[in-house]
Amino acid sequence: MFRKAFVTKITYVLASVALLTGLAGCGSDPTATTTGASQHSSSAAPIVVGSANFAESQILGEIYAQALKANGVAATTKPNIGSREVYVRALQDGSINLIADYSGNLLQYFNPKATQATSTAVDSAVRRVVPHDLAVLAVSPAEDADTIVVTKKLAQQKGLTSLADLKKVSNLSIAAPPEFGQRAYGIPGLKKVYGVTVRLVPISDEGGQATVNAVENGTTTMAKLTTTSPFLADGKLTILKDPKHLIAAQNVIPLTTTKIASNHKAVAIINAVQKKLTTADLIALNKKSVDQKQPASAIAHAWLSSHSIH
Amino acid sequence: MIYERTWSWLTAASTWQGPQGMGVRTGIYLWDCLLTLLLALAIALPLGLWIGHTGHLRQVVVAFTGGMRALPTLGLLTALSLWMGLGLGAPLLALTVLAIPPILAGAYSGVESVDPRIVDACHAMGMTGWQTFRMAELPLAAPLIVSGLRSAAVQIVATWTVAAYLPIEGLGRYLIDGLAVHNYPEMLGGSLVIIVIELVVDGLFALLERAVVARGVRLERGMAGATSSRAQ
Repeated sequence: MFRKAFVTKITYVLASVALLTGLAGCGSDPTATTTGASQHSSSAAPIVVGSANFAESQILGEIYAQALKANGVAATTKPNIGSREVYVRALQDGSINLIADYSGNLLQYFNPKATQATSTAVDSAVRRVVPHDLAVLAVSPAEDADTIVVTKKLAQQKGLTSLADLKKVSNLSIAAPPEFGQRAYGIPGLKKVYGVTVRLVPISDEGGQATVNAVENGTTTMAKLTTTSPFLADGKLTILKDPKHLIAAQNVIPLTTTKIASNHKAVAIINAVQKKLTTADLIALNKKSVDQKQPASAIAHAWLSSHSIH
Repeated sequence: MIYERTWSWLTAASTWQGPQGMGVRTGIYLWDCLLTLLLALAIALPLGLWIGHTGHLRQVVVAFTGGMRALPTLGLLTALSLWMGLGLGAPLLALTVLAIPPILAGAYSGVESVDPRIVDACHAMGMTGWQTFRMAELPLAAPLIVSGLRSAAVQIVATWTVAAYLPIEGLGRYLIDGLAVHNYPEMLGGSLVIIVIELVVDGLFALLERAVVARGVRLERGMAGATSSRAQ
């Protein structure tokens, strides 16, 4: 009887090991790089506007699609596709044709060693690195970049206006996502560019309430937010300027295929939208999504009406 | 490719040394898990045994703990961290909530599973409620109680990783920090260590489960086994 139980147990263990290795083996290796084959859809097909897995991207996607439709170009949306790894492939295999992206991150995606930081430098660099089957349209002044903030109280007490002033403060710490510890613009960059040693307090809520609480209650000196964070609206937090351009610009930039980029009518419509969009608009659009829980299509419609693009 | 990189990451001395090395992190992780198990045990075991023995509050508690099982741990952790701050309190509480239901269920179902004729026999012999509980119900319920503990321990070890959502040291850092920078070898390496701990914890509780079978039950089973093997 004991022997039988033992054999059963061994079988279980072997089965679990087989399952584990099976799981690890099946599916696509996330670290593998695949090259998507480019397909060309017929010219009569509507432009499919995709969006990434966060609200701002979905709102921008709606704005592009509605602007195209309002000006006589057929367009549909395919929201919430996922991260850059996924949607770049979707563009290349033809399942989407256009998506709102951010210049600095897009540049880093195609060239991880890029060091350009100002809006203009990033913009011209990104145009050089996009693959031959993809293209970017006009860059917008609207920016959703990483930004380092302190409480207004601390900024006044210690006279902090820029990252260069951080030398005046001892025992520096920052509430930021874990990747901030390794990214070039993160802890290593602060050390190299501004000569300050900062301790990372990793919080994975992407600049949410826990991150803001940490800096507001003094657990950390600083917090990493983004320029479009709704938490910047009430004025309790002060953005530290970045005179040495440690943090790369992240202007909204439409990523598309070369085929769409040669459609002059569509390009003119999208570029007109790009020109009118501002960072303050992005904050307002995000606030409508977070605070009032409005759907992306309604938020986009209201923005287009107020900018008389409809 | 990824397996080779995971292997070289796991075997690098730098992975294991220092205040943020695997050695220290494993120690912290096991300690946090043990603390959670003890906390959940202190709450759930007496309550579960009392419910099993008396039958009081059974409906309420069963429904309530059933509901607790449905709480997403990461959501609870996030909510608690806004209230309790970034310390150990929030994950400890969130994980205790996760560990209470299996221990509670093991305790009351263990006591309830005791043959009512045995309890009647105890009463007939003039044993008090406490004596019945201590000398008959508890020893007979022990394997089910341990099995509840086993399930709680396995869940705690697997789920404490979510605490790394907050600035908390432990093995979860490899998963959360690794994911943030797409360092898959680090994530896989950290997961493998947790899997090994899981298997060891599960194995130890399996042995304990076998060890706590009451002597009388074991003798009876032995006889039944002997009879059946003779019959074959």
